[in-house]
Amino acid sequence: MSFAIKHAPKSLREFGDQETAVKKAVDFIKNFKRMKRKALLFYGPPGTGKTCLAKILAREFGLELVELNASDKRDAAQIRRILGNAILQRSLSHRGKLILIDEVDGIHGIEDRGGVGEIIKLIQETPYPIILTANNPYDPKLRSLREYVELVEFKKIGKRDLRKILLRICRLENIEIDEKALDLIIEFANGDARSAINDLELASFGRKLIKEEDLLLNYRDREKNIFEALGMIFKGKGIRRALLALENLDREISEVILWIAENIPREYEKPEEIALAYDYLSKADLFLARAVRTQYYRLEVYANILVTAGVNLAKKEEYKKFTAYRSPEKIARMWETTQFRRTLRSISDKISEKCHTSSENSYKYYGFMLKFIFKHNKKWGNAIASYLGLNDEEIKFLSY
Amino acid sequence: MEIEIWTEKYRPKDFDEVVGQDEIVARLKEMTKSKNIPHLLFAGPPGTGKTTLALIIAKKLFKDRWKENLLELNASDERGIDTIRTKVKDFARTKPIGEVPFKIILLDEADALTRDAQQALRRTMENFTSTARFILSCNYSSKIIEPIQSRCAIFRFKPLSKEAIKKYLARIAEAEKLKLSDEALEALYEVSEGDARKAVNTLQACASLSSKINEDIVYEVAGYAKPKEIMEVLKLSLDGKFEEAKKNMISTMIKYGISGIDAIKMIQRNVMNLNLPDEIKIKLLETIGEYEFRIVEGADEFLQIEALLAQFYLIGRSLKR
Repeated sequence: MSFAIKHAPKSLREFGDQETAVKKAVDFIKNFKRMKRKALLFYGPPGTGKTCLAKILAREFGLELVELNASDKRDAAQIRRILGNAILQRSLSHRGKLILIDEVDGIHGIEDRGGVGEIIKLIQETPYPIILTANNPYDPKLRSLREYVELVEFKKIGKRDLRKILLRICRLENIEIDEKALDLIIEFANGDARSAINDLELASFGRKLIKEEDLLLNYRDREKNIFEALGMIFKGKGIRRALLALENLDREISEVILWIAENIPREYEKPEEIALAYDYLSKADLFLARAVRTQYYRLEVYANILVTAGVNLAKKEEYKKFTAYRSPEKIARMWETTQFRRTLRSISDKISEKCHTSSENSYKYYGFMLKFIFKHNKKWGNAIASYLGLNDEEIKFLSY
Repeated sequence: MEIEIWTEKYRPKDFDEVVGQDEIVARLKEMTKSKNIPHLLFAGPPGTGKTTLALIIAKKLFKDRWKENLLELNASDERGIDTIRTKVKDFARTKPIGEVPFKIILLDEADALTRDAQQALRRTMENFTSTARFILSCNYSSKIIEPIQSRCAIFRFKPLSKEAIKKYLARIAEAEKLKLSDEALEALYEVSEGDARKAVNTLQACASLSSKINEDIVYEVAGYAKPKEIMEVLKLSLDGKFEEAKKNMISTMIKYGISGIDAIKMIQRNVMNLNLPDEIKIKLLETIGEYEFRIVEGADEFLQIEALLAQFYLIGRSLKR
């Protein structure tokens, strides 16, 4: 049995964190008959105790748990078949029931047709409390559901609580862990108790003492967002954490480069730091270009290293401040470089065709004149556009 | 009113319409009359009439069939010497149409070819001498290998004189019913630096604003060709206003449609005019070269320029200490 299951809290007393959520949930079960809304939606990041609390509640209040989770097919008919029966049949032991529908945001739009609608119907009919869980309650799929449920937020588990949880397991499992390794697990877990426990378990195989280097490869496959990645790159000193910033990130490295460029002057304050960070970015970008040109994509490894570790090391001191990272300038995004270059090229080709110049040089000769005319005299601009055979994209470029 | 590109609309169609380059024009006129021309090499700066005269030669020799008998190639655009050779071969294989016994191949910007490519070109020229004449044009004849130079009659084109530019612009002004003040004409010449294409393009841009053209309009247009914003951006970076500099640089590039390479060339030219110690200028120029190289290697031009500005920012700060 895995640590995460084996050592999951079994009672409300053991379930330490999430006080507000616990209070709300207990209140809901106790006073269910008087509740206007017959379902709770537990929401929050993974590993914060949503499902765990539902199970504890069933146990503490002596309720039979009826569960429907993401591995089941969850279209309307299926939900009715499994849960409808549970609602209609009295419990054999005359116990009450608690209905748990896990990961409702995982209900598939097409495959699980009518799933959400059916859940709403159940909520309206149910004599038993229903608990739903989701990571993101604002998922558009759940819009119609939201007015029938009470939202209960689960926060990321704090570092102190994570430490407590991990040390307790170590004690029970007879494992020793050094302080640095513990910190690292907690750092990577990012408020997710389950992943912290899994990391601990993985590192403990065949060992009684866990040291820092036993962990490195074991960090979780969790999708990061760009802000977390930026934090890993900019914050802290020491490249190990920074080097992992791009893993499991849902962005291309070329886009990450734009984000970093935008935020370098926000994060770093000394010219040396800014210039050096930019220089690493610039070189990373160069490696990307070479990788494409030579079709030798291994070179991207170096781009990755420069973007993460290079930028991380560009600072002289750690900035403890909070930085509000901004998305890359709109203006730059509007003309993604490839687009900019492509349009410039196609305009050059068209000038070259009419004006006996090379495409290479035609924009240099004619660009300023065209720009000026397109800006100041629409009528002439249009006439020239039709003379050169320019398309909308090219006209937009010249008129900008 | 029909608008097109004036450099084409007013491109001289006959030897007599050409302004400047008097001796060259006279010689070419004689050659063309005799219906026998050697291979030609036209060397000189842009906008001095090289392509125009090549086109006139073709028109005079082949009359209304000139298009079929002329192959225009551009060395900077063709993908290597092999495509050039294939195109030449295909073109020169068939007999010329009309009474002239050869066709004309105009190879523009021939100095863009590497030395190896020029050697290959030399052999191609020899192979097709009986059926084709080459007119090569380039900015610097020194970049053309000697064996090619020795096979050609060489003509050196000079920047056009003030009189020539003025005469040409006055002709266009009359046809387009423009009122050009003397100062404006003077300014147009200054801005053009003896480049007729630049003079005409500047004039056309001015005319899009008003049919009465004064020198202020001319300089406004000239600002589009050499945006002073670039200089300001550099000063901002050196002054420690990096974020502002970066923002202005991107918007300047987009406003004028300046490519990364062109922007970096402008930066390089501007550095010399900055109020900095010479040692710093040299250091900056070396850095600029490095970033230009990165762009040429295919890196993102905006990012590279931003990174370059960060270097200016750094140097600016170190100077203040």
